[in-house]
Amino acid sequence: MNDLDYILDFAATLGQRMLGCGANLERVNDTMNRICLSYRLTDISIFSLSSTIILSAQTADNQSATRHVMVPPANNDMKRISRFNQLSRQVCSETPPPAALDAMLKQADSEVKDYATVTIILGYLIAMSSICMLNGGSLRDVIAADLTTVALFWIIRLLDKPGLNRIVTDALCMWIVGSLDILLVRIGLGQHLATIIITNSMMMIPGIPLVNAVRNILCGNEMNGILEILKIVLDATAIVLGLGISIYMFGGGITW
Amino acid sequence: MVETVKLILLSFIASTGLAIVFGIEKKYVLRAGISGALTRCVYLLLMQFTQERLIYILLSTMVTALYAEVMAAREKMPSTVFLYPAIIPLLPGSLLYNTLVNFMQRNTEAMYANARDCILTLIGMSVGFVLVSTFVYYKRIYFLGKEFVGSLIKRPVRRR
Repeated sequence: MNDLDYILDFAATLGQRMLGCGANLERVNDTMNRICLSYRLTDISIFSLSSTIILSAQTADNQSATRHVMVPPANNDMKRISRFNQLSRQVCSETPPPAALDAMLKQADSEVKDYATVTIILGYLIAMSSICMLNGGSLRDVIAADLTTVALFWIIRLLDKPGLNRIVTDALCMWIVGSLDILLVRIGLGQHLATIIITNSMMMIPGIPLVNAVRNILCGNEMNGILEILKIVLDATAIVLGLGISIYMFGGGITW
Repeated sequence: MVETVKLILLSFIASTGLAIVFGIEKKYVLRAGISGALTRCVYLLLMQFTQERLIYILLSTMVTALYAEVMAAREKMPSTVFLYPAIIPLLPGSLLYNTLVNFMQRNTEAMYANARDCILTLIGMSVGFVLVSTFVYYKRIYFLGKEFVGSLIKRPVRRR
């Protein structure tokens, strides 16, 4: 492998990891561009969507290469975004030997310590309790929403493992959670079904990607923006479909 | 007044909780909470002056994005870290939900009303982000350029 290969591998993999952690597309493109420029590469060409990155560049002695990487579905992982951001700043300012870049990326990734599962569940409970109260829920609604939040957290984890289709997973999750919400209201724990369901759906409705998609369109990444909006509409439809099935399953006697 | 304080406090707690969920470092969790409270504060304040959803969402997003950019510059972090938990109070999750539920119930009037509000919120938020990030980008370029020219002028001439 020559220097150009190492640099492009690093830039494309870093971009892939950043997108996978929920960074926005404009920032990732800017990071890859800066890395290539810091190593004095020319003719830098970047085509990226939220699911793929194609990066090509040329050296001063007219060697050129291209990298194409697929990006896994994004999760919000701010610790990693911050760490990768620090790494890109370090690489741009120090321009270490290209052969060392891969090891630096692996080290940066392994340095990040994720929160324990209990802490993440606690975070969800804190957030969902207050969102439920913001939506006008009573104390009983908060308890019901918290119970289903914990259930939803484990269901999402369980369904993520076999690598099921996202739309199927969303519909299944919302069907189970919708059924649980109705049961909790029927046994008298929850009071306002709509409030509990809206609170739970905040965990699943892709609000931040929706804002990012519109932002993509306004910033000139129209293709990614349109694809993302389509994906979000499908996700949201799957969520409502799952919920609809749970309501009809219980006789449709409960109002939306 | 009590209701307003309650809403701001709840937004603070919601953003703090989501900061943990998003995996933000411990030392920034409280700041993320403050950004959520600030967003709600501005949002409620603007609602006193205008009923135009697009205007109050746009302006509160701009304030939030500016706060995120200032914090990002101070801490040398990506602005996303402070922005994502902060915009939670503004996200049109319930509007999107109500749009789809009304669509399934064939309640056209309510569906259109919710969809309109949802689209206005999204446009307001996105335009707010883009305006602030463009401003910050050009400000950075301006100061970088100034610094560069300054360094050229101040650079001492080497004597042989």
